[in-house]
Amino acid sequence: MSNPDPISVFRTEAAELLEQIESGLLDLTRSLDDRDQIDAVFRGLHTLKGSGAMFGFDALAAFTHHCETAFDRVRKGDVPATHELVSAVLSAQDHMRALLETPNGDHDAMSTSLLDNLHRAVNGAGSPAPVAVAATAAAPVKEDAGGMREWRIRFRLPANAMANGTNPLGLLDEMRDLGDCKIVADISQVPDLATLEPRDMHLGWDVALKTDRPRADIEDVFIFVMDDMELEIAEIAGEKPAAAPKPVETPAAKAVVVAEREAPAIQAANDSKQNKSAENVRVPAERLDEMMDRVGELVIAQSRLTQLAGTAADLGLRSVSEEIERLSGELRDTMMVLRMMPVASLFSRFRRLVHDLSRETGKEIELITEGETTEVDKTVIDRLADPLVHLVRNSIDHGLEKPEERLAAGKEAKGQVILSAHQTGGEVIITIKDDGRGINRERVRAKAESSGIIQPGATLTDQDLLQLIFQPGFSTAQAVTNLSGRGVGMDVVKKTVEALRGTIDIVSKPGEGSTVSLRIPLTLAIIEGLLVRVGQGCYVIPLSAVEECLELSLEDDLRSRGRSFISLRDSLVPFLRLRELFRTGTEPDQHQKVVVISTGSERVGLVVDQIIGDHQTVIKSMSKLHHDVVTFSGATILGDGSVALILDVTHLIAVGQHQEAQLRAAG
Amino acid sequence: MSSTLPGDTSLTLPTTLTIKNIVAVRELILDCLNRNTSATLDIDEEAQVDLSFVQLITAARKQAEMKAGRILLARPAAGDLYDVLRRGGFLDDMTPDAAHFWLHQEKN
Repeated sequence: MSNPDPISVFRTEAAELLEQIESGLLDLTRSLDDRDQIDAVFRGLHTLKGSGAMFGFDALAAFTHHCETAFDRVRKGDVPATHELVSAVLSAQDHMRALLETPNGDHDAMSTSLLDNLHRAVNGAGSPAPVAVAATAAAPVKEDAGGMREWRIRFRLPANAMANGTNPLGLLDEMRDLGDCKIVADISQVPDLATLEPRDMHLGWDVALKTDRPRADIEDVFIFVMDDMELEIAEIAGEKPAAAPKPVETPAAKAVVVAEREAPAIQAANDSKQNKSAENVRVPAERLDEMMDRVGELVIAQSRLTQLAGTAADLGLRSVSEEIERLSGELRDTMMVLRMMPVASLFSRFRRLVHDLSRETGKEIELITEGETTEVDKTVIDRLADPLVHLVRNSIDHGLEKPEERLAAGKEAKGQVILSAHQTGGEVIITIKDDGRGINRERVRAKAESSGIIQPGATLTDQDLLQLIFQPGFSTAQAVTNLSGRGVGMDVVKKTVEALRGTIDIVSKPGEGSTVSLRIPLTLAIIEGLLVRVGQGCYVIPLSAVEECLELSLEDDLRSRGRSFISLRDSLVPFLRLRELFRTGTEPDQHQKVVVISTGSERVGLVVDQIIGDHQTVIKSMSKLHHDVVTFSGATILGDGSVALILDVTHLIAVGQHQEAQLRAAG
Repeated sequence: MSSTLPGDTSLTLPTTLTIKNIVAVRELILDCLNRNTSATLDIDEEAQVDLSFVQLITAARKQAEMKAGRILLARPAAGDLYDVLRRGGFLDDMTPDAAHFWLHQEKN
């Protein structure tokens, strides 16, 4: 296995850094004078610049340098953070992504334009608010009004400092700029060459500094590395020793105070942090996919072995087969966990989207996310991103009202969009809820009638009416906007969700808002299935969709001909005879079974000849030749090497519901 | 790299001695010290040097001492190397040994 390419490692880390910067900027929009966030964004920009230059991304480093310089004025309190400035940095941050992805592209014009925009925002920000001035300048000046003081500064940088682009010599130069300085390198912790990790930092420094500058200026030297380093700043002597320095209440100062009192504890914490990071290994997603494929093949092979062992008299073979079955099951479960990612990684991107849409539409929007720790298969997360973007855009564009409209309706001026996730059984339910105006039924009906989707005056339940918005080509928007009118309709959203073997439901109350719920299976690779026989063929029904199994006697079957309904606890459930649907040309078994499947509130029964039992189903995609086959969502290989098709539950329920509607219409 | 006598060798280092290739430089010196007890390092005055290299040489000196050998510089530190030593705080409060090693100053 080859070592990871340093450039691609840098790209991954830079992408994460950009996400952190974006997150910090978005947090800043909620509290513009939050010093922690300002420092965090500044540190992020600085690190990106340094590591970009180190790995040869010169354009990225140069551009980021300008942004860092501009943002430094905010950090130093020269200008206040404003919404315009934060938006300008967010736009610049998007450009940094482009510079990262295509470093050799022609970005000059865009870079110049964005920097002009940024400088305008900085210059237009005016003077800092009085509070900001007090926080950044007044306290230190008061503290150090006494003249020259002597400081002893001892520090060790985090082990990965050099690899991350931090230049310790730059820090030492900055210390020298503060005053009369004697710097002595501490080589005591440098190991011998055989055990040295040469990219890690093992050096420390002991600095004696005589300066008239305040303590905060010394802390500022370390602002980019403060989080992970060991730092001690102690005053040795001053011309006015009676005036004991009062620590500045900044996070950095707090860190220093803690460092002075609890250096060993911090060292332990740092060790623990470093150990923790050493426990994590970054693995490319495609390697996980390859491994998942291998586990899938193993499960199939194990299934064949189990079948062979079942027919063999050899007790030793049976014992080994059972052991391998247990181990492959555990391996499969472990593999599933490896592929799981928290939906936080999906939800986090919507903060930026909502921020941008809020500015574009002039609507005040609060995004609330819930259940971010819920975990879903990585592939599901990747594929859900676009549908969710569309749904959130729809909620904001069509659902939420303008502030004045909301106030007139007795609502808060600020609208809410709630993104939430929770797990139930083998599914994750993701909901997008807004407190906007709700779906206008009259407009939906008018549009559906004019588009020929329904007959004029057709009788529809409220749910059926709402489901019309998922029809191809359906849109109630008066004009196509660049928010939701991007050529991706709700029909595409529904298809994408169904391709994930999921379902989509919508609930909407006029004047109160809408809730769209997506039910998605936790994983796409291996599912628990119910293996059934229809005629001579075997089929798999996803177990998560199975509600119950009933016996359908030959008499009941004959009695229900022409009706195709069964009575299930006082409700009629339509059923489909799979033998007829698949045209098997075989006679029904004496004791047919009805497997009742459901998605949400809709149910349908599937008549099969035999229920064989549960089956670990490794899903194989259908070939391109079968792309128009809608009854099956995939195939799997059984223990005897034969193929079983996996039923598409959503499609079969739709067929059943259609059949029910036709029968009802016929009276 | 040219070897003179067993146990004593001269090693010419590349002209880039920074974190970009520090892993390779470590391998080079380690390999040399595994085969010889002492080595004289030839560092070009124009060589690009950063702190990772000074740290590496410090580690190499410890390695050589453990094996009762030693490392020498072919000439006193100059150029980038001297600059890094100065800025990195290696020249303040120098021990006689360090001054002898880096700057070829006579020990008292």
